[in-house]
Amino acid sequence: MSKLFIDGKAIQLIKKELLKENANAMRIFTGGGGCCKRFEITPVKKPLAGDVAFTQDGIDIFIEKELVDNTSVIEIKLDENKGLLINLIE
Amino acid sequence: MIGISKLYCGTVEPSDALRYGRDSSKLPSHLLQFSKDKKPVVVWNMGRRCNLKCVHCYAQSKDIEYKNELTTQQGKDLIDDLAQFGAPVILFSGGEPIMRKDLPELAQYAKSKGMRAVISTNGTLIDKKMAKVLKDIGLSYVGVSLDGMRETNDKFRGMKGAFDAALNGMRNCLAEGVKVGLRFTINKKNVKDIPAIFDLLEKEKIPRVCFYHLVYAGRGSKLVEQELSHEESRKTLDIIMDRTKAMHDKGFPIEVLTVDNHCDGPYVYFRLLKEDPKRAAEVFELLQMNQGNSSGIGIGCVSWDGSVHADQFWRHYSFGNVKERKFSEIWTDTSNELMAGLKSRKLLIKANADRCAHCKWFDICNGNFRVRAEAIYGNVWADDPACYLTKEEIGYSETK
Repeated sequence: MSKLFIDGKAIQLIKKELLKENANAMRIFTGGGGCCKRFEITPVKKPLAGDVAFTQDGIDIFIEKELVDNTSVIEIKLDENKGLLINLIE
Repeated sequence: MIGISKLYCGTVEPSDALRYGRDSSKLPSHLLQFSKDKKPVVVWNMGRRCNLKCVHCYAQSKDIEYKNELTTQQGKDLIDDLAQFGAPVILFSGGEPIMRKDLPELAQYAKSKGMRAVISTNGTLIDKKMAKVLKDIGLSYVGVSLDGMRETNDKFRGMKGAFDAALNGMRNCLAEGVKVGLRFTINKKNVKDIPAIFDLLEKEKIPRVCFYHLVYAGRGSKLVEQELSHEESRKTLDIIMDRTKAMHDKGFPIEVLTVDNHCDGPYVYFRLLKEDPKRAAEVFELLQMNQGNSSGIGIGCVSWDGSVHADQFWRHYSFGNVKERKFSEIWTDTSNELMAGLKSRKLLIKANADRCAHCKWFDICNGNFRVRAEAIYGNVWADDPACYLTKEEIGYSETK
């Protein structure tokens, strides 16, 4: 079971995006497939089956089950140059 | 790209972000991008030279030296730009990328810049030593093309023994612990081999297969003669789903994907509606997150000479050259009519494509492949001729 940590700057960015999209939660998942896998975040209204729900600083985050099952900690931080970064720690 | 095993069997394989880094302190950070603002996965056809002579090669490669290819330093400059731009993945392709001696150096460089590095190869040059090199680079994935069983594949590849050499290449990768997958481009001549390919995957314990639908590009492309009929495409998808399910039921949770025809997603949904309506509802939500075709948006291509294309099939149309301008500048320059159109294609397609304009799946497939529309109708924004969904399935009369 994962723990989720999102740094303050990333929280602010996510809150801004949620406001823009008029959504109440974000979902984090592995997009694409095969050679083109990538980590994505998108505003959603509700979780998908199997998603694990987290709440931090008033934001609901739903994370794909596969990511949660294979990690002990998920960290999200904002890098000024690169944007959002995700660290998956076993 | 449609995850058949994910959608139809509900199986998600563990992230390779974890698989390749058992020591958590050494795991790299990965980009986490907003879906609507994602940067492209970039296919770099790093060299045109190839040791095979495949009849369907979009690069029309030969085993000769080509001029004007990007140098190692120009390749590093490209990688610097892509990393800065936020491209999450670089796919080294060719020709045959292993024929470029600086592949390890460039792939390692991309890794050091935080990108996911993968290669697409014919596999025939991966001996034990090369498999070790690929492992040491830390490649996330090696995709090996096999377009049929021995006889069919060797005919396509223009070389007797190509099948066995590619299979050995995959075995060598597996022995080294490099994640390997099989790439199969479906056409009239090899479709009969698909069941045997599944048998091969099971026997060899190959954990992933990508079935590519045929993409014919440019006017007058002869490849279109090898395209399946719509009915054949549907039957093929059924076979792929049946065999995927059978393997999962047997305890071999292989990852199966189909690529280059986004109507596969709704087709899986329709089948699940009959078999498992609850799962179908979940699949519908997953499909909504897929976003459909993303040529010119979420996937891009750089040719051996530095030309930038909307994807690897748009070789007849270049947006510019990385020797003159950075990829990131070319990619975001919407003064180019085609680039602007691809990035916001919906209105253009709705105005030109009758089926798409009345299709309830339009937002999910994003109009499918534009380059096929151009090849057949001479109009980039026309219907994709490879969409095999019926008028009933797309809700044509409901929206007309």
